[in-house]
Amino acid sequence: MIGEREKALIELMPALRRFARALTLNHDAADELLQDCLERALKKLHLLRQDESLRAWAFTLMHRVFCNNLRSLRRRRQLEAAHARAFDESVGPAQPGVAELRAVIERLGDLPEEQRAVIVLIALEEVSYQEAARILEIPLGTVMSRLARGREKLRNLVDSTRAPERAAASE
Amino acid sequence: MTDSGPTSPGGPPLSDETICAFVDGQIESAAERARVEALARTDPAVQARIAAYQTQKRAIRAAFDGTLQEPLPLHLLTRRRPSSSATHIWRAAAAVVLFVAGAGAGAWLMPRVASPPAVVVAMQDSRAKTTAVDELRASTDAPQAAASAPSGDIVAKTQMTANAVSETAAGSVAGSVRSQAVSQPVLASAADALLERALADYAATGTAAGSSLGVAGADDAARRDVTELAGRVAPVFLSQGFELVASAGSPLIFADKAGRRVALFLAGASDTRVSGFQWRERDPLRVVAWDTDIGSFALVGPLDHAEMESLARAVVGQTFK
Repeated sequence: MIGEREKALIELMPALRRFARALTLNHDAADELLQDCLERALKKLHLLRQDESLRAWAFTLMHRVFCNNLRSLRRRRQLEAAHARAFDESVGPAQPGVAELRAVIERLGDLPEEQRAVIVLIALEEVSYQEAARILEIPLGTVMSRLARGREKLRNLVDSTRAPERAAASE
Repeated sequence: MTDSGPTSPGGPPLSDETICAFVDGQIESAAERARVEALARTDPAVQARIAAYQTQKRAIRAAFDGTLQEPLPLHLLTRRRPSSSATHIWRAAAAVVLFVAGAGAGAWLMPRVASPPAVVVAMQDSRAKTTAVDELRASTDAPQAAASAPSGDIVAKTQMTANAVSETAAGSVAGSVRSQAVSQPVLASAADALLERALADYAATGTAAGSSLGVAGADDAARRDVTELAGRVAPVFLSQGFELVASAGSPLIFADKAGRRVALFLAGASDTRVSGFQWRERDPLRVVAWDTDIGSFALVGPLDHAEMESLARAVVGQTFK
């Protein structure tokens, strides 16, 4: 019977869109990614096994499409600060501690995509490392090493941005 | 910052991976968790990493969680088209109907035609002043079609039918069946009436060129309804190989890889409601119609019974909560 899976997929759209935005850091590119992903998903939905998680399957599809389109996405993201703007809109600059969060988001685009994908998937979806390995189609050890390297790199990037700021503020 | 990795007096040094797993709550061993907690209290390097990783996670949530509150981007369920697809589709459809016009009524759906069309037209209810015929006319920007139209009486009659539909589209479904151009007996049921409409509206796209009727008068609310309907039904059609090829309001057209096209009509609710699916056939065309609170639906296309039923059930599933 048609309908249930499609409905479930439609219900996943906000979460998929959130993942797409975190992957692409660009609203338009994210919607294109989502559109490509949905198109494939709807065509292949009948191949989904009964015991398979639609959610994980859809995230896998999205990540695959993302990897396939990486080259053109990289070109487009140059000079884009859309994600930082979106951050301002959703969080607002006035809250305490926001500068710290914003600094993270500003540097997120400086990470290699493969590291960013793991970091944002785990932050947004709160999946286990095992689940992340399945979704991203990489070994568990690779999930952990990319996560650790990515987070450490991001920490250093943020620190290098913030250290001069703090120095300037304390003068 | 070039600080070296944190060290632990009570065991091997803590790796960044272990600290990540701690932050993500994914350390299975209680002893290992306790070790990280103990180090977090004494080792500034461990502290700094835990705090930074937690901040990263919070920042990512803060930056992207707003997405979840946005309305569903249903338009993304349709495939991207490089240019105005509706125009092209209808120009192609017009060419086909002119090509087969001499072959007799109904022939436009014959499978042997290179691109056998069926029509998805979402007719607006009485709130909308624009009729489906207007929409079809507006989407045909091929004035040369009239000039090259064969002078066969089929074309003339379907034009009459189109006019009749234009006049009555806001009225009851049955009221629209005035012309007998493409049918034999007087038709009583909504399914028959909708079949006639599908035929007439389709034919109108090939013969109404140069018409001044446009979509400017379309009711925005009705247009939104149609767009919403498109968003709901597009995925279920796509799952059966039918892609939404025109989605800018009505008409909505779905086509599969073989070029078969199916049409979904939505007419204003009629006074008499019939329960269940009503079927009509005019080889190779099939119509399945059903009534709902929001109006009468009819699906028209050159598909077999099982395919039609499957699509119709999918539409029902999307239009009832």
